[in-house]
Amino acid sequence: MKYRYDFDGKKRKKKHIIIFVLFSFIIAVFITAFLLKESNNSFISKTSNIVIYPVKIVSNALGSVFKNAGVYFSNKEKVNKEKENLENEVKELKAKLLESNSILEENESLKKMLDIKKTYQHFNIKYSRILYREHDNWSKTFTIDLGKNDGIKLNQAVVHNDGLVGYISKVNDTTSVVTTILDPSSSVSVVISTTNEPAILQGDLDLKSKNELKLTFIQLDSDISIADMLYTSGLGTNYPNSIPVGKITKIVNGKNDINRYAIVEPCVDIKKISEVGVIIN
Amino acid sequence: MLKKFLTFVYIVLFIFIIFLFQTMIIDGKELFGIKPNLILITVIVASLWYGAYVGVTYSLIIGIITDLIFGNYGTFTICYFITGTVISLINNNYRKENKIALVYVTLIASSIFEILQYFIHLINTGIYSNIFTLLIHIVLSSLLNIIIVYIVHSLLYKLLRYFDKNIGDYSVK
Repeated sequence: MKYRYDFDGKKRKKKHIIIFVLFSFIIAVFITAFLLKESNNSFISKTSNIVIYPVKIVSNALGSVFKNAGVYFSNKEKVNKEKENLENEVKELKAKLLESNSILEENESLKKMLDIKKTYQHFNIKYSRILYREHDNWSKTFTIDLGKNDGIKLNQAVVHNDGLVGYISKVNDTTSVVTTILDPSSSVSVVISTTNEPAILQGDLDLKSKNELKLTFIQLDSDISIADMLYTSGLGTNYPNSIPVGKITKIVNGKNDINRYAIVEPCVDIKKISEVGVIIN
Repeated sequence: MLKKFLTFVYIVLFIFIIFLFQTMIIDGKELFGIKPNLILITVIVASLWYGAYVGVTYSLIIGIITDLIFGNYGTFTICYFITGTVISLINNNYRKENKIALVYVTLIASSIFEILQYFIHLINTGIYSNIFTLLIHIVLSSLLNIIIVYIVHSLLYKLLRYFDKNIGDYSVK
């Protein structure tokens, strides 16, 4: 129900008036004190200075804030330019660093190829890089970037600086597939360094994951021992002779000596190599 | 129309990236002689998600592409095709957004794929190993594939939903 006479409105109005009056009074006091601070009367000037002291502090603080902001904005452009110059310099240096890193890598790779050439200087070798490795878990092959167009033929031996890697099992126009000695279908005719006796080094499914090979067809009276080196014998058509293949790490004697075999660690860590040489002739 | 075409382009690009990743990075790394197989995972997901027609076609195409790249005379075609077909046939029993279902299906598919690879290798080379080696291969490859599938499941789900939205929903209901 609305009354003719608005009691609440009147109360609100009064409140506003009181606040306005108080605020005006404070301003008036400050203005007066400001005007009277230079008065000849020391009491009045002292009192005025005391009254306007907080205003002075606030105004000084505000002044310094605005002054710093001004300095900031005037220097900002200068700082931005300097920052841009430094960023450009950093970009240039980063690009130079990447270039020098790639040059260093190429240098290392060329050195490795030179090592292969020095090791097999009596062979005609073509160097290649490994493009990609086998996709399944049951074989051990990789694809290189040389093919028929580069003079690669089937069954040519593939070597690394440290030893034998495998042979070319498939040739395309520009790429070839290398079956490594770790592949279960691979077998290499080898000679044991200490006894000069022949044996067969085969890949094995069980040992493939451990990067090991199986030496079989060891002669019954053979006096082999751990750390004996194995070299290619040159028998068969695939591999030339005297290429290091591996080192015996374990000898397993079966029930009969006829079942005797040895575990061999290959000279080349096939998982880690990225360049190989193909023996052309 | 343009949106559909672009989505097909994205699908092709996605498959291309998967192949690149598999050949350039993953095939060079192995754990106890076993590598994970991202291509198999895409076959599993496509067969589980889209059912028989799409799954079988996709696995056939992927198998052919893999054989062309690696030159294995059709071995991967057969393996991926059979795996994709089996998964497509059992897809009605699993909810596609369920992570655990995808893990089970990955286990089944990895086992089938490794067994097929083993027998094809046996036929090609005449070399066999004992059953223990085969079991280790199956367990390790399944484990690696399951780990990858578990990690990328939510991303795959979003990607497939995006493809569904733009091409049309061919996914199995």
